[in-house]
Amino acid sequence: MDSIAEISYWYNLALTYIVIGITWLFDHFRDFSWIIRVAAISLSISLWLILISLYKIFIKAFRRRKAMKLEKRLTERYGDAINYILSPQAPDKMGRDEEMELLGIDSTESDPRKLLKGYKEKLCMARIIYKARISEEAAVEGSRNLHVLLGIFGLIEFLEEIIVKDRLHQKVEALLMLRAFKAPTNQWVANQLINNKRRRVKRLAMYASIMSSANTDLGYFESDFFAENFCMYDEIQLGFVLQRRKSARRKIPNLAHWAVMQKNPQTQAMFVRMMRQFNQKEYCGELEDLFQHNSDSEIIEEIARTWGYLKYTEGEEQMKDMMLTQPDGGKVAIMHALTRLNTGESLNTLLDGYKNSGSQHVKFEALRCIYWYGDEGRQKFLALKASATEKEKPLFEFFENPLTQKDLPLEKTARYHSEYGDNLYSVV
Amino acid sequence: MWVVIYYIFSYLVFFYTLVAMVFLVYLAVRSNTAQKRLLVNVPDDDTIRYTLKSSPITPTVSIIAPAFNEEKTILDNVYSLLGIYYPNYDIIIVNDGSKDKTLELLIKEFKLESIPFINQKRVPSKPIKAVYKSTEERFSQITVVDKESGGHKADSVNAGLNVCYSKYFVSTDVDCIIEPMALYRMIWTVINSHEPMVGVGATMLMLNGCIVEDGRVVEAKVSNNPLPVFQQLEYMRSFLIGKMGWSSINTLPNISGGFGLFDTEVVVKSGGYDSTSLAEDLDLLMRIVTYMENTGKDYRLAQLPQVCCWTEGPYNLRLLWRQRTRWSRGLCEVVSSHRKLFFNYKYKRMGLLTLPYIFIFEFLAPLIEASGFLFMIWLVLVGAVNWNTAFVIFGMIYVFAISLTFLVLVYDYLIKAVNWKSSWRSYLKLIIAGITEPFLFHPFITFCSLAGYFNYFRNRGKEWKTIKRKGAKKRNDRSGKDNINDIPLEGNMP
Repeated sequence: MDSIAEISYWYNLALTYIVIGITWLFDHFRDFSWIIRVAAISLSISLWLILISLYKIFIKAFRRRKAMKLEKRLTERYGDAINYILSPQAPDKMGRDEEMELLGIDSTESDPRKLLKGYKEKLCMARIIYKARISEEAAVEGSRNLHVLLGIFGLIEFLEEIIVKDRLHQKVEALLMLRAFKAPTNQWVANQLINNKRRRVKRLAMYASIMSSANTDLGYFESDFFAENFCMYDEIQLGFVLQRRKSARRKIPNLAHWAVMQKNPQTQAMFVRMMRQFNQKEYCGELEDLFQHNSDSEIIEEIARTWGYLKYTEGEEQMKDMMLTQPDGGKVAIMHALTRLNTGESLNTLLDGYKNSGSQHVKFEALRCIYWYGDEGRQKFLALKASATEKEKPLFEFFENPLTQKDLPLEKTARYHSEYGDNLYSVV
Repeated sequence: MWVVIYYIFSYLVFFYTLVAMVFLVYLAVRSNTAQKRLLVNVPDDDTIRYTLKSSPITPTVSIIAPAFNEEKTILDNVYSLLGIYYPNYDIIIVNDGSKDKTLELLIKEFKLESIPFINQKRVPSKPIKAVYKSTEERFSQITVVDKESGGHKADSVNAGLNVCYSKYFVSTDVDCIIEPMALYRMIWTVINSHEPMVGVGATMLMLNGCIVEDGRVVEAKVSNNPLPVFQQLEYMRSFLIGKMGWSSINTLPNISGGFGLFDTEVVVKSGGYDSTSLAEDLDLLMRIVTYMENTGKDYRLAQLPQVCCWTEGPYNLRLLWRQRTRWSRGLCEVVSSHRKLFFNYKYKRMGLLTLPYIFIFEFLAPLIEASGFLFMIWLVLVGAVNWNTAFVIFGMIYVFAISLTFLVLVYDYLIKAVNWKSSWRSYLKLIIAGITEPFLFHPFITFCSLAGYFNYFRNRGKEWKTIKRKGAKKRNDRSGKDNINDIPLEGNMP
């Protein structure tokens, strides 16, 4: 009997008993008023709820205790050895026999996978290894000795089996584990789940596929996969798997191309942001059209930040031309980018931003950029300070103070909004 | 005439009770659904930490913690805040015009220096006198704001918002103990939301009875004093059934003032906290909902079942009276000042479901309970009670209340909201509290609520009176005598 049929069977059985119970109660209290009947039914249901609650607590407590005992037993037996094998102190590329010796397993054992009996023991062991794997020390070092260790207990095959057969949350857990283990069969796993109707499973499978795929022909991002229901988790995950690809010396796909192909502005902005993370300066030119012919301010801001961060000096003139037509957020992002480029040719643009902008927010950020614009900018800053009014002077001191000196922010923050009016410059 | 009144009132109360029960069952079922979803979407703490720590786009969070006359505990509490696990957070301590050495101690301990300060004045607050930053790199995440006393916690949080640079902020009290993983768990909810997440609440429980070491709760226990146990149960019901249930349909009516994470920009644009309100947290949620609905933006409010914060509850009846009358007065203020939201289709489910529920089953409940009690006395006096019916109805309500207690304990156990030390003893205490609560605790709370309403209509009790705290038991201080520090901080509405 498959799981849906089983659930359906129990559901119908429970429903039948509930209907029988209510009918019995109504029948039993036939001569009473309907208030009594309703109260009696509510009371009975509440009593049942109490009994079921107690039953659930006891069952769960029993299972939890059992699971804790199992974990304790396996940790006591293998925990130290696993931690050592995955630690940076262990010799690189240890052999199977060597690892088995450390684990206290007889190397003549014909099939060490049989040491773990049943589903629960295997899952528990996988969790122990996963925890050791993502501990801070081991995570830095990559996957040294890991695959041999997993192979000894046959855990890769076990996790793949879960993905094919098990319930949703076990599937997700197994997929996360396989990804952390950088298992070589990830591509196969991903293919199993890429068409799963659950969005979360589908995306996790897709990330697994990107991480393991040898080529750069990853069609997911050219489709409208991300067109809706995109969240920051996706961005973090995607960044994460691409980073893994990079560590494994696989080629990182052209993110600018993906940005251009996307239709959803949020996703476009995400890929532009990611270009900074992966230093894709060589593809910055592909964003020029997107920068010039776009009405979405978030994309323009992100492109400006990316060009500034990656020192794409070819974009300087375009940014200067576009600056005046942008809303405040766009102006600030462009000023920051020009300051990062620091070619010596944009100081006048920054001064324009400071002197001619009607927005307090833009003026404030322009002054910050002038302060950070090399020696030339610093001199200009001092000249402006010398001519500043008494009311304005503390603002200059704010930028000069070593405790408040903050470098140019790279991410969008919630600070300084123009709509809060002239009180912005009220300095204590 | 009297017979008609008798029948109308009897049926009204009966229907009222039935509908309240149906609502509670509905919330319990929704809460269960939300917990199951959580089981799938939220991995273990190690995975959350591993993922967010290594990401360059993990959002920034500021913890805003107001402090008033806290010289005895301020340093321990700030060190506790420094021990939170999160890669990208800063701490803003707002000294609300303390008359003791709170500020001096902070300056000395963390080597603070006054800095030029750009007051953004994004939200109204009393004038800021100075802003301090540490000269030491290891304390660089601390900012101390010294301001004129505003008399309300809300005013201090507003001052903190004026120097807050982060995308999100957490509003808490400096004497609350925050779980080290709290920010990770809350931000995990934020990053997994497909709609802009404007606020996240988490379960907050009583610190009374727990053992604290180095600013962390190392042994979660239920107090031996019955009063905090009743409150513990009340908090658990409120967070694990009420708020989780409302959260699952995105109509969370309140994020506790003791610990809640908000989108800074949204709060600022909503006007910040009302610095005169006695229920500033409830008021803030109303403001946020009003702002988001009026601007037609999608938004999400969420509640986490895990315990992320511990707060000390009133340990005697006098303090409890003070706290609860203030809360109920605050509820009156909010109902009055945000009345346009109630039963208003423009505010969708919040206006048509949650807020009417709050009005009918939370605001009116003490009035109906009290009138029902008086009605019952009158019936007894005139000999008009049908005792059989009365017992059955009483039994129905009583057993239902107990079943909710059991249900909440199951939820707590299943999701491991708290890792109780000697859990069977803690659960036993909570079960006993659940059985006796309808007779011992609930009537007192109803009476406090009525007094709060009375204060509101007589325009009394506006001031934010301080509540004395005992302080948590420390690992090295198990002599049985609690160190009584008169820490004047506020209790937090669940």
